[in-house]
Amino acid sequence: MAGRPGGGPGTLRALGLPRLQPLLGRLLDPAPTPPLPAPGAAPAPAPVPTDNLRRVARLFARAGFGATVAEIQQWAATGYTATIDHLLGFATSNGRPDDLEVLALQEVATANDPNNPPTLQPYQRWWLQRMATTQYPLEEKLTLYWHGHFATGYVKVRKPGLMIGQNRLLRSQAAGDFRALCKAITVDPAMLIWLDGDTNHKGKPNENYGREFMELFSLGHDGGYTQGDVREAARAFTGWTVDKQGNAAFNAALHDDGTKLLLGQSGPWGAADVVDIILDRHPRGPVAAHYVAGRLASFLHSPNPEPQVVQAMADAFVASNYQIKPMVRALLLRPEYTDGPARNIKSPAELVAGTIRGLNLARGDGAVGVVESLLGQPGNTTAANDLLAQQCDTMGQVLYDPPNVSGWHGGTAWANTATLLARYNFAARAAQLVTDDQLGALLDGTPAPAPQPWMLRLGLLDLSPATSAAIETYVAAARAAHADDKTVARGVLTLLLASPDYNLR
Amino acid sequence: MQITRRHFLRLGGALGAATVIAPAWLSASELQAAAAGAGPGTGRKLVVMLLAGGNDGLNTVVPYGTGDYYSKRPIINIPQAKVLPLPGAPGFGLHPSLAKLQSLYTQGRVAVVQGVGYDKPDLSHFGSMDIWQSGNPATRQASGWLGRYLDRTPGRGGALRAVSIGNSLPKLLTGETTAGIAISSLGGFRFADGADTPGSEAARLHQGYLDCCSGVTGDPATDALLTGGRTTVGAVRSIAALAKANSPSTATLADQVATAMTLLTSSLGVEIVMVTLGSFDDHAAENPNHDRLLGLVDAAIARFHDMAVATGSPDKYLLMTFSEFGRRVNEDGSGGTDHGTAAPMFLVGDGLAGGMYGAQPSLSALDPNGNMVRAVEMREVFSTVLEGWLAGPSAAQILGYGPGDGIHPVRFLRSVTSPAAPAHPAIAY
Repeated sequence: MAGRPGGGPGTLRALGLPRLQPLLGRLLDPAPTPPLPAPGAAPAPAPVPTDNLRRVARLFARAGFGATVAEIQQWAATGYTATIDHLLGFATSNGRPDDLEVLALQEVATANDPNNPPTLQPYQRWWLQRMATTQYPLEEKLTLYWHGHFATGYVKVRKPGLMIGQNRLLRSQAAGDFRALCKAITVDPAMLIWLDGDTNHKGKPNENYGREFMELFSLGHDGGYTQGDVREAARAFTGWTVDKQGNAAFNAALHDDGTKLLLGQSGPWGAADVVDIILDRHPRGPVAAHYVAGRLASFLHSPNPEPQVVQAMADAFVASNYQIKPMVRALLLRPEYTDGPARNIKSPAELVAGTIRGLNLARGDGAVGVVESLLGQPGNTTAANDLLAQQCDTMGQVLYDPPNVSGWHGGTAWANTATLLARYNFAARAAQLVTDDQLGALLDGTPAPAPQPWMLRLGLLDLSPATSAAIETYVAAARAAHADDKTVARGVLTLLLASPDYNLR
Repeated sequence: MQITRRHFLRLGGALGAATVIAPAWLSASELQAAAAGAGPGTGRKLVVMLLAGGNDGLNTVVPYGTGDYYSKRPIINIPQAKVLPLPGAPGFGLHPSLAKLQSLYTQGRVAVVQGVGYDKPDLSHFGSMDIWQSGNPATRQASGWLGRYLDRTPGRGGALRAVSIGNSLPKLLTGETTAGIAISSLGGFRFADGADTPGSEAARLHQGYLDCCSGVTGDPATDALLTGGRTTVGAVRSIAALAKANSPSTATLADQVATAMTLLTSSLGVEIVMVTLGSFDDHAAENPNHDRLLGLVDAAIARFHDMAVATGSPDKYLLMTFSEFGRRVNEDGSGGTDHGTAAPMFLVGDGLAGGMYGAQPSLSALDPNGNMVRAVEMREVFSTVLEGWLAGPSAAQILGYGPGDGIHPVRFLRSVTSPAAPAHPAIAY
């Protein structure tokens, strides 16, 4: 498979497919990974084509947070298209019970206590837990995408409740209506604070939101707008404020109701009109559809998506009047996506959540269970909070606090000496968090140094020759030093988690 | 002849580390640096300080002698009584948070280059930041101007010549064929599972990770992990010797500068360190935030100079500030300012000729967007840093300008300053 480190076509170095079934049969795990709902009553008995296994494995890595090889096999037997339909088939979160309510209540309880100021960490922990355990992984993946797209930072908002409110908005439209999402985010309280909409008043407009809305949220840096359009959009956006309770409110006295000239269209435009004009009446056509499609493709697919892929996504976006789901579906069906060589680097949140999922570290009840597992010190929730925040932070991704309004750049920007060291250290820590009991069950009947049991859990169908050889060399050296089975098994897991193979998707 | 430490390092480099048995006083990392060819080029060091978000130049170097300044900024202006005067620069003074910088200025250790920008200014943070870091306003480039300097001077050192403090590697330090490294802090830049003690499980795993990262594929994402992994292991091993228990944190900008100076004064061959402070994007309620941020800048510059003096060779250290743009002359309705263009840069050190350079752009003859027209092109500062300070190869090549582009280096360095007059005499409006 071109693009894997040193891998040739069809190379299945460490986990030969002929051996897959016997290994699966031996895999004993008392606490299976949070289940994706099984497709039908039983896995189809027919042999699954290798290509489809690869497609489904990569699909879950990119459109979800990974899956075990057993799950991959089941879904591959069901079929690639049916798997896409399943992933895209989540109902809007508004129709489901929402554990955010609990956290919101917790925050209210502590908001007025100066000795216990609200922090982001319970919300970061909650979201990672949700990514790791959800039955609707694409909902979380798209919510994560929109968080980076409409990047809003806690550093300035300073109110966790408003960040959570925005997260709820992003989730409610994660695969929904982009036009409605744009109109709602424009008057979202966190956004109004973040880009100064709440002080953008008639007479002396503040350009901050108007510029970033066009440059980053809808049209792109070269999206055919001028400084004049920025100024006129800022006028149209005037009048929205945030009250003391954290609710957005429109104050007509602060709104400039005069005529604005925006992208050649003249009228007494308000906030919603700006969105409609940008989407429907840009003199160069559907510039926004191409920009959003390209940015989404660079996240879900490849840092440099093929033009024809972006075109197909933009076409589906326009044809559906800016519905997000058809655009995503168009991408997931493209041959460049299913079979192309291009790889992307997992974001830190994907890496952490996927590892919690694959290693079944989300034990215990609720959000605290994850963190305690990660820390290995049940009950020490303060330290646990710090540790979990640090995992993503040092890898370059602080949830609810992106580095600036342009979000996380992703792709190769995730890989530098600071963040790769953080990834190695995460791997080493995670490997220590697998309990002896879990190790014992996992290794039952399998030679301790073998990477196969871990690969089955982590959804790795194969390894590059370099990683295979590195693990062999490590095992030999550890054996020669008389390391015990559990040490070596954890060492193999460390290398797998740190390997380029696992960090790519 | 006495064999000095430096002789030994050179000898080690020539022989290759594998053939050298290290004496006790020579750490493994120093050996590695020596093997990688680390060594003095000019011996001059550079700290680059990025003020991210668009620092308000008019409220940093305040043109209090200009009536337009007060009429166009009725709310956020700095009253003349509070401005810290700059000797020899009537009508200009520093923001009141910059007292230590003022002191250094009066000692001749600060060059203020006024009105720095580029033509056809981009009002996007990200577009303009890209231009400042790529160093070529005319042509988009994938690399940064200091990165290209690294590319073109391969003999000057090893893999650790340029370091960014933080968890991202800015374009500025990324070349076409080489790149700097990023570290979060000295103390934090270490393996969580233990040091590379020979024979330890941690050492076996670190070698295993290194082995996982061998090879090259042609896929950009894969290769970023492969080459990045290899560089990371090498950098951690090299820097481990510096990461003492009491090594500075990177909590404040001054701490970042202290980390930078620790790296620059080490034997690792570090030549350039970049530090960053954000949150300068003051569209609203500018003054309290800007007061605080400039206070952090002031403390950091003071730390830089104190540590440079402590080396005994303070004239070997230069600090340069920049931001992606200044801010609009007229304040907005939120007690802040929108995106602007030209702004002053500070250069600090004992190797320069202090004073005012460039010129304050007019506050009334503005461009169609209400922004100032630059007086100095940014490459007129960069070229002096490249050729005058770092003694690099042709700045014109690195920065992509020719004889017809009107680039005249600002001569703020002592060694290259003609006593007659700066190329850009200051003009007060």
